[in-house]
Amino acid sequence: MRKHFVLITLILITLLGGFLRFYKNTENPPSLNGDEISFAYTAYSILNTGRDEYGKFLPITFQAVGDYKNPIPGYIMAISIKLFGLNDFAVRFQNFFIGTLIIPSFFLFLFKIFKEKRLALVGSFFLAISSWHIFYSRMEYEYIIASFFVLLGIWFFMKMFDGGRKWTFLSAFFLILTMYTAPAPRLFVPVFIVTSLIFNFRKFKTHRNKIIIFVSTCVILGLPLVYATLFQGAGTRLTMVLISNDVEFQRYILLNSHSFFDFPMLIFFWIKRYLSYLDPNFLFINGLNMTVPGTFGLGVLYLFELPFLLLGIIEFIKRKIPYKSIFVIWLLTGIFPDSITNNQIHAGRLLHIAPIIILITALGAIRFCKWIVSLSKVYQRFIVAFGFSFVAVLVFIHAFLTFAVHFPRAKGESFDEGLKQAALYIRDHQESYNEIVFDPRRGIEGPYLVSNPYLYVLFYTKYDPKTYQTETKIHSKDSTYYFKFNKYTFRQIDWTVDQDKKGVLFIGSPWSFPKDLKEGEILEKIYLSNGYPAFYIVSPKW
Amino acid sequence: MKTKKQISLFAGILLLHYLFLTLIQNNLYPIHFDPKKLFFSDLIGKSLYVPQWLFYILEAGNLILLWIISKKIFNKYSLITPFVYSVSPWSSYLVIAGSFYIYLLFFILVGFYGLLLLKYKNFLGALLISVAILGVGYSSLTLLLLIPAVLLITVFKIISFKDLKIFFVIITFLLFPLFFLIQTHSVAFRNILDNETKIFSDPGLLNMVNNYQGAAQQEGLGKLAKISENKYLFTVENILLKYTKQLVPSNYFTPQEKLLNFSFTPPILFGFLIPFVYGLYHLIKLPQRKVLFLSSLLVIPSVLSRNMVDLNRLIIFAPVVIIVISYGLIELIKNKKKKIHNIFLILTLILIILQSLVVISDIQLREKARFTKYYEFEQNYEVGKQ
Repeated sequence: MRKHFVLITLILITLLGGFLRFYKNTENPPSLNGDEISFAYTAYSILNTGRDEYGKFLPITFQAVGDYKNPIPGYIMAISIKLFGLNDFAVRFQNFFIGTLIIPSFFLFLFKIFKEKRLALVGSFFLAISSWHIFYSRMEYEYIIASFFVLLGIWFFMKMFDGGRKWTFLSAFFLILTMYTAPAPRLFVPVFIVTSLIFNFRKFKTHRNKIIIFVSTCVILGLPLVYATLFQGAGTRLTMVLISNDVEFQRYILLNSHSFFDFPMLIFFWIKRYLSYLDPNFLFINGLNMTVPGTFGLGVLYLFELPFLLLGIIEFIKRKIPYKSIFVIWLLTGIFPDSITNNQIHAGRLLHIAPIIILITALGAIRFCKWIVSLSKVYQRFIVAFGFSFVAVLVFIHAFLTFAVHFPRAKGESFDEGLKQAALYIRDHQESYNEIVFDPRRGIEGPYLVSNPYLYVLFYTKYDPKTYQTETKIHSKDSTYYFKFNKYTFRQIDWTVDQDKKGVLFIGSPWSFPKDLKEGEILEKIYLSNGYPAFYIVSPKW
Repeated sequence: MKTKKQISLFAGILLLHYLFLTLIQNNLYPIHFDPKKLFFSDLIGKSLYVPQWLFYILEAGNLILLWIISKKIFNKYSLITPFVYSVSPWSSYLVIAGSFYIYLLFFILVGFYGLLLLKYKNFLGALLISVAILGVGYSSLTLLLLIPAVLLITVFKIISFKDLKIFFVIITFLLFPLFFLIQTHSVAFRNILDNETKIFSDPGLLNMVNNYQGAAQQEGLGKLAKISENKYLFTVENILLKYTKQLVPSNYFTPQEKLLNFSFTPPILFGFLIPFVYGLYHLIKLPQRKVLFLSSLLVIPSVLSRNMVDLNRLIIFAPVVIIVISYGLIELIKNKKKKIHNIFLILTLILIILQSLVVISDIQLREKARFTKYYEFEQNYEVGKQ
């Protein structure tokens, strides 16, 4: 029993992590979001026809809704859909699976690098219970897969200097694979490799052959991506989200007036953004953005991990750690891609540095435990340990309530809640109607346009991808949103005109219809988790 | 001869600071804070304010005090501290806006100098500490409340009670009239206390608690919410968050928190972050770290304010940051023969020069427009209460 203690503990930790990632993951988050549904239908299309919904054969980037998604999650999802069918579970399975698989992998990584079972177990335990990792593993989110590949890539990168050439190939393979998985690693990987080579120049000099093989492999594997970026629109997303287009920078900092010092201003603005990742609010209070802004949700670390993080930093600095410089470069360059975007700081896009942050926290936790044990009096030890455990329990209860109650209520709308039910209604009742009109405007506070309801219809009606690729589709020629295929029309509802149409099913938010609809006209009301109406399904009465 | 040279260099630093102040004044004045009444006058219903001109004089006093404090700590590198302070835009913005905390900073520096003298010149040290305590105690309720905490920790951690017993007697005697006033004007005292400690009356927090508990109740998890999402826990969490937030470097070295709520000028130039991190890294290993931890009490007025970080209130913590930067810079200079230290020094210098140029250009070009955009009017020029 004692001999297998580590193995049994690791299995239990992995099972716990798996449970936290899997339990009701098709119900919470409350709906497949726009990215998930887009990946899902593309994967389904590729699985059945070998082409995406635009008819491109095994594309390197998925055009999707114009945001040119990375291909790996889509291709992996195709396997999952093949295994489980076209449903919510299949869409989210890959992240649950990889999010769980990363736990024992992280254990092995820590154990092989540090040669310390205790640290490896504590680290994998923290990863298993990490709200940051759990949250993104419960949905289809490409950065979970990317973080797994980054972990393997960097691990093999470290091993490259002690082991054979296979590690060189494997490291290059996984690091480049990451670049095909999510947008941020496209910047992170080259910056990480170049910085590591510069700061470890002396070490690398003695492994010149391996470096040449490594770099050549990276270049060869990366070439298709470079091609896609330059010629197939994959670079569109990058130029769209650059920090120089940031609204705050343009409108508030530059005030739309330009001077000689604009570029240095941009650098200092970037520095401000970069340092904001140390914001305790982001780290401990609401970094996951699961609740309404300004309230207490969950950060990338639990609040009780604050002392662990501080002690961990000190321990990390003081202790002799193998490949310390690579760890530091991993952390510092890992923030870089997200920091140069014009979006709000985003915990999800930082998942590839989760292992290093969790490592630091684990180092701090062990230091903290040693400190408790070093207390001279038993009652002191008891008070500190009990007090700390009590705080941790309170934090866990809050985390549970955030996941179970506050998150679906706060973010149902941003997860496109209600579209699934609407699409299922269409699936079940479409035979009775000549046309189905879906108004893409929604919103609690006021109407805004969502351009993806057609994807929900495609997904939940299991619309034949081949038919969709080849049939005629009509788009609006002006700025108003209009999209039509088969009997489905996605456009704004104008009830003064539409109320006279016979045999047409209308779906829209409360903003699409007058308040005084005739009795019996509303066939079904779809609600968000917070109780607000999301959509009305209406058929005009004559 | 050496002293003369130091004095003339210091005069140069002073001049540099006032030139910077003039630049801001020319571009931004008459921007100002709502003047703050001195605590004792507010208590008795009178309106006694620190006049605007006094801030300019006190600012010179602050620089001089930083210099003499620095002399005690850093010896021959003493000019570095006032230099770092003088090229940091933080205090300059607050001086032209008439910040009450510039006035308090003066007394805090006097007190700190007194503390340094205590070991050698017991009477002068005790006298200066007494002046400082009386100055802040009669002027600001928040700092008056902080005095016992600072004294207790000082006695336990830094200086023995024996060294301080003279001035304990003096202080008690001199603060007695103030306590008498508080006793006789308890209603006014309560109002001032409520105004100074906004953190405990945050309606947003109570709203959040009600929403959370209501939502959990609907899901049948009301009991769990009562245990872990109540106002006491959230208040503690909020205080902890705010306290930690005050100590984040981005507050000081980037415009993360806006000076006077609108500026894009950082409180301290970013280039100084390098010596700051270096200095902190080394200071933590020294016994003097106790003083460093103790000094973090100075962030409490900012913690108690309505804003997440109040750079106006936080100016009283500025000397701590400046001293850490100075220590780091001095260590870098001392070790400049080592390649990496030299690189850090050069990088610091380049960043400081570059950012100074950017900041000066930006102040002239856009700061006033930013103020107008943020406050959406120009007539009053008030940048909020203190």
